[in-house]
Amino acid sequence: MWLLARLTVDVGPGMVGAGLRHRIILGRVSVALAISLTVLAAAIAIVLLQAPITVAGINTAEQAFLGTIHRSAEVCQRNEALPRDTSAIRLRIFTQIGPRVTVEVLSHGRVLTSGEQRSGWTGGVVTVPVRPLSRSMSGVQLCSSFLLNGNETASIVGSPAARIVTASGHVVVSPARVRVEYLRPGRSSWWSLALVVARHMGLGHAGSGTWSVLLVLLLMAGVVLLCSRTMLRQLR
Amino acid sequence: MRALRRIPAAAWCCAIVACVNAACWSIITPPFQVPDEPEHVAYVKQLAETGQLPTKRGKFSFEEGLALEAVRLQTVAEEPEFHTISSRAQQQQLQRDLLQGERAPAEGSQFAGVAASEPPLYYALQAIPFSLSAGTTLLDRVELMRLLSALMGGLTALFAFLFVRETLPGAPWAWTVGGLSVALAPLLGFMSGAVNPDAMLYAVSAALFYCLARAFRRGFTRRMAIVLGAVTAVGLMTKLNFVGLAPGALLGLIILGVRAARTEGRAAYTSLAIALAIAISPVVVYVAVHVASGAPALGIVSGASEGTHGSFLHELGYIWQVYLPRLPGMQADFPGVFTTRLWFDRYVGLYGWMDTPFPGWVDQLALIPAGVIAGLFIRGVLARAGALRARAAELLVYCVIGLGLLAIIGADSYIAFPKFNSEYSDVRYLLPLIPLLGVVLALAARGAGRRWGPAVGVVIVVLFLAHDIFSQLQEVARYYS
Repeated sequence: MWLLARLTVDVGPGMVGAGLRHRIILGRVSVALAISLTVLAAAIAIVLLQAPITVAGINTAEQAFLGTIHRSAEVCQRNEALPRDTSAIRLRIFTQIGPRVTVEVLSHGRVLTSGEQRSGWTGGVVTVPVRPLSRSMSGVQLCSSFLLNGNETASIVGSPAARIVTASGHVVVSPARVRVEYLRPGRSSWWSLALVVARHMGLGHAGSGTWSVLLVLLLMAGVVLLCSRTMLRQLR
Repeated sequence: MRALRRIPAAAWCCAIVACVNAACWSIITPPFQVPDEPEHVAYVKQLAETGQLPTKRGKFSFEEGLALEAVRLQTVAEEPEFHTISSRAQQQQLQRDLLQGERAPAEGSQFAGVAASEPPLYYALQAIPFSLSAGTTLLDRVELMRLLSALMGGLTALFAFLFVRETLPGAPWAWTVGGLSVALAPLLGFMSGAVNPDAMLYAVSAALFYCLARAFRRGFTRRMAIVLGAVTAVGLMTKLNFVGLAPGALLGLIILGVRAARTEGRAAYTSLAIALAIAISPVVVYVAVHVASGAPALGIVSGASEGTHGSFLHELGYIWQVYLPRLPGMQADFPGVFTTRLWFDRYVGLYGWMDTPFPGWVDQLALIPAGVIAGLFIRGVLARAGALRARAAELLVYCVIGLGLLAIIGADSYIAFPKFNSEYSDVRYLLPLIPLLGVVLALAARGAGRRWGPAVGVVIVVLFLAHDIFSQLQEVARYYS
């Protein structure tokens, strides 16, 4: 009721003085701040209750440069093992502005799961979200389509030794296996991993130690407090 | 000191928030996991230890090479499946390597790769913490240099606040919305928490915007002319990308000078001449030194202007398409790619060595608040269309500054095209325009009206805070999970 009253009271300039009007605006600012920070805290809590994405399987340890694709192509590789609950498939392809990529996992010609990553990604890997399956599948075929246009190119990384690839379209790579990582949510939530993450954060930095995590938490808490105080004082 | 005392408390708050935020980013981001940070550190090392400028060729110093190997830069950068060191044994090895590097002779680093063509001012400033921390490991020195960058992040937010104050003098409450949002922008924190001249470029650009706005509003005095000239000169000595902002700055000086001449006569032209002379002095000195030594007039920078190809019209079309959809008659240089969306997605989140994005659904979700803010901004602008018309010349100057920066980024990408398409589509290059974002957000809050504007302003600021926190968590997940 208090929130409702603070939000809905509407006073015209002719009805009250500037002081009351300012108090009403300040009330709205306080309510907006309280609600926004509560939503933010809830969002952080929800995210931390999720499990981090982990690598459930890799098809090859090799990371050899296999070649460059200059036009749209579909690369299929057999004998892949799809771990259960795989929620994304990460392919090792380097490009500046990535093309649209689709993946399909097939068994005996039937599509088990598929996904798409739209163009515009960058870097050395592309992660394509797929619908998770409740059980692991082995001996499946993984087909990836790279819808290249114009001057785009994509460099493929993987294992040059394995000769179990069929390809259609214009593919300059020799029979080879694109390196693929199968990703799925881990078993532990971020909350339960907090200490491990904090320990890792304390390594490899200047003045190593877990204290740096506490320092960041304190500083960010200070940022939130200072922002809130400034808004309550100035936004009226 | 009197001028400092006149700065509102809220502006200092924005500066502190930006500085502390950048300091947090500097702790969270592992050493050298920011684009080109190894090269920038090498530049500082060379300048601090030898007093000479580095070159593009060669290799890192023994000390830095050892540190880069110990923190597994080659393994981790651009390889999201690999994390930074995570065991005590690795940490002990790192300590041993750092101590070994520390004992190596201070011989600088002749190689600074892509950083070698940048002007030396930022690196000269960074040489101060670098030299003061002699006797510590390279990672300690990197952290100290990052903290100096964080101070520059604070200056960026301070000047952004003051710029919003000058452009929207009628709504003091909205200044805080613009200032705090800029201070909390995660990309500003990320870049200001690193050793990178972009941190100083943002601060100088924000100072330029503020000085121009102040001169347009309060008059083009002799003192202001000197300050504007000096800020432009500092910008040119900070990073080459400032060349993109310079035409707008010079246009601003000319408009201000001509306008002031109507009331002050020749004295205004004298101020203008002084400002222009100061502004272009770094370029004149740079060219003169090179010509006198028999080197190409533009020195190492001339390498950047080589290799242009294709017609001017094609280059223009390419630059257009770097940002916007292709127009009829243009050759398709980005077929199948909506480049505007690409910039948006990369603003939403792409950290580390451009290897740490948010999941795709976050980019989609971000369209909603962005759309609402855009709508409120348009509403805010339409409500003040008359005031905008009265300040058309000032707006023109800001537009030329923005277009100049966009053009130079596009032109840089065109040099590598078609081998690499849009090599410089990195949002950090647009951040010199961040004071304009502050104004947009302040206007968006005003677009909600006087009654609801402050509350909407709070939501905008908390939105930026949330963006910042989740971006930091994304970095934590990327490197330390």
